[in-house]
Amino acid sequence: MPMNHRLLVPRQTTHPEALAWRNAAIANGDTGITPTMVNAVSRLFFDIAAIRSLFYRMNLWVGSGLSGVMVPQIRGPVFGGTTYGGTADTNVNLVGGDYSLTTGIDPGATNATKYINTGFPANTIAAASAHLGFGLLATESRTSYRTLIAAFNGASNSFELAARAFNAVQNSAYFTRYGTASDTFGDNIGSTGATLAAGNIVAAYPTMFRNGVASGAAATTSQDYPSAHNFYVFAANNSGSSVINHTNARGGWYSIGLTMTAAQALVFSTAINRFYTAIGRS
Amino acid sequence: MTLPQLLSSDIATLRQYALVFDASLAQATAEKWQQYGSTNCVPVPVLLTDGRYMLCADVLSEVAPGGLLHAMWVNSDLEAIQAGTEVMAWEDAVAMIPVSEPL
Repeated sequence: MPMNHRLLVPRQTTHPEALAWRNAAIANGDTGITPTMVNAVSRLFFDIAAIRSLFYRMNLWVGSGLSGVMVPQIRGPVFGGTTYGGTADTNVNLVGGDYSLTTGIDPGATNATKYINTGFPANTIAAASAHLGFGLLATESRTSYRTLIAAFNGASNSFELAARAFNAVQNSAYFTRYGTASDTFGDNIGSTGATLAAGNIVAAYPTMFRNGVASGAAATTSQDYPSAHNFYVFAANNSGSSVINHTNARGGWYSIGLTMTAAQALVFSTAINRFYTAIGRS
Repeated sequence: MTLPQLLSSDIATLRQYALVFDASLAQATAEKWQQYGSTNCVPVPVLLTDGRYMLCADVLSEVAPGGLLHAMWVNSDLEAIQAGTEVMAWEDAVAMIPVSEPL
């Protein structure tokens, strides 16, 4: 009897990290994880396979509600290896109405209280070797200093991706000597349109990438962040004692990890755009 | 607007208001969260210049059955919450957040 030719066709598989995320999200209380969500996450893992080890913590903000959304897809550079931060992010003051699968997380036009604690200490990765990424879907509408991902030691060091910078240059990020022009890089997120799909930063020296393409001016110096303050998203962790500079920017994901080349940033941006398409996010 | 009225309001309405209360109620709320809450939703009130604390009223959208704060809410002293909470326009409450040093 001849073998059925369909046995030779590879079956479509779900990436094991997507399955692990699904299980973790369910364990965290989300009973509404759909195949569409899992398949989109799975596709992204396949798409970033060549650069997977560059990601230490990434949350694509996927779930039927905040219980699933708070569970990151990536918690370490190697699946099953060392992890950074807890099994879930800590949501402070965001409510279910601030999230939808298609729009991501919107902390509100006058956000002054809401943020996410990643549990990821900002001194984990040397600044010159790091990337910070934020999927900017709508820009900060206020003109004062606002941050997308940030840790600040209360003195002279910050490690952050800003939605609006405080200094005259108005660049959007610094790695990591606070307020020093040579550490400031990128272009001004706060004053541009809401079309940025990927705002990941790469360092050494740092460069800002938008949609996988380098933009703005590169820094000429960078210093390591000295303190183990957790990165906060949608605000800045002010040395663990207060929270400042809340943003009203709307986002589709965050990522913390190792620096990328331009080619790697483009791979990641392409993967994110496919992920957005799969879940209808914009 | 009163707290009972807010409990039956939609989220767009809730976002227009802040819940303002004193330190003792903030402490009691934090203790209830420790007992019944999770990190999926941590209500952390913000200190105001007059020494009181505030939360955006949209936190009430999570206290209904199925909400992330429902267990915490039903096990709280609701009479004390109602008696000790002032409903304030959101922009008025935000204006009372201490201005940090320019950073």
